[in-house]
Amino acid sequence: MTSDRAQLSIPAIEIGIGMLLILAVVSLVIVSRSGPSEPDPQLAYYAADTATILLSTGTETTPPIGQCLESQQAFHQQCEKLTTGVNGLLPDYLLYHIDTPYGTVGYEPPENIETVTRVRATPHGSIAVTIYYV
Amino acid sequence: MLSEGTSLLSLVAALVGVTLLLGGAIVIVEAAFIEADRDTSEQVLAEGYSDRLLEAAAVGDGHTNVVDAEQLSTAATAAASETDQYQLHVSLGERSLTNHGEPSTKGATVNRLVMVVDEEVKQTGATITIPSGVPTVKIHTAPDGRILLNGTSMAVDTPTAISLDPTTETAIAADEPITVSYPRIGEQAHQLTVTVEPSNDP
Repeated sequence: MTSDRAQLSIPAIEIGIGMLLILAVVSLVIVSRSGPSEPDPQLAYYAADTATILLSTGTETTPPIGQCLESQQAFHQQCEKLTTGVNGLLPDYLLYHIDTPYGTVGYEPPENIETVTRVRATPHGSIAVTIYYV
Repeated sequence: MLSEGTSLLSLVAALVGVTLLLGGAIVIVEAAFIEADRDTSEQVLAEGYSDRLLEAAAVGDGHTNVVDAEQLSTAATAAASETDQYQLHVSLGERSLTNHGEPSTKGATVNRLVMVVDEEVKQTGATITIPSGVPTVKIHTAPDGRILLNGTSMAVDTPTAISLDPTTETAIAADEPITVSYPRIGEQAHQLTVTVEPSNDP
């Protein structure tokens, strides 16, 4: 009594097992060599530099951000200038979001996109500068 | 007997084949990791150089990202002369500060945001307006040897520096185009780009 069902030959099974073995070993090597993922170092520099400049000198068109945070009124008066100033500071391929005690400036980053945030303290509260690629 | 010998031969050949494939795959993966490590070392160097340049050219307490353009240029040239194993390219905006070695597509680049002070503005034209706040202007070329400073004619030997009233704008005119330069007032945002590449030298 013979079966009509096709059967894999033993060498084919052995080749398959061999390939799986190779894949397993290579995967082990890769997994053992790769560490935990870190934020994009360039984005981190952009975020840190933006925060530092905003705090120290301000941009070409705005004073240091501390002056914008003296009161709610001061923030609203400087908010638009701040947007223009940060736009002039960052390259075109980046967007930003700045969180302050009196509100936010910039563009909310979409979900599932890599962002880097740097927080700096001012006499009027902390600011969080988030940078991400367009 | 013949069948057993053939099977053994096949088994040995298969084992040799699998071992070779495995070894080859590991060599390729290891080479990729070595390449990645090399890129990492260039990245670390580029980051280190960018920090050093910002510190060397800093205006004020050194933690403000405000730099002097001339000091930055000097520091970049000095840094480039220190290294033989790597090539260093530094630019401020579109201005190249140092190009040590032939540029290539390899290597690592770090971009830093800086505010630049005392940057020189150079202008050429028959009529030039110097913004208020500028204390002096340098006349580089004046073909006629005469200029009109706020409407008043004066003779100049070039190059020469003229003191201005910084409280107002100043108009400089001449019959032929003249070239002047003056320090920019305030800071201007630029991108400092540092690229480190492996040296092509053997």
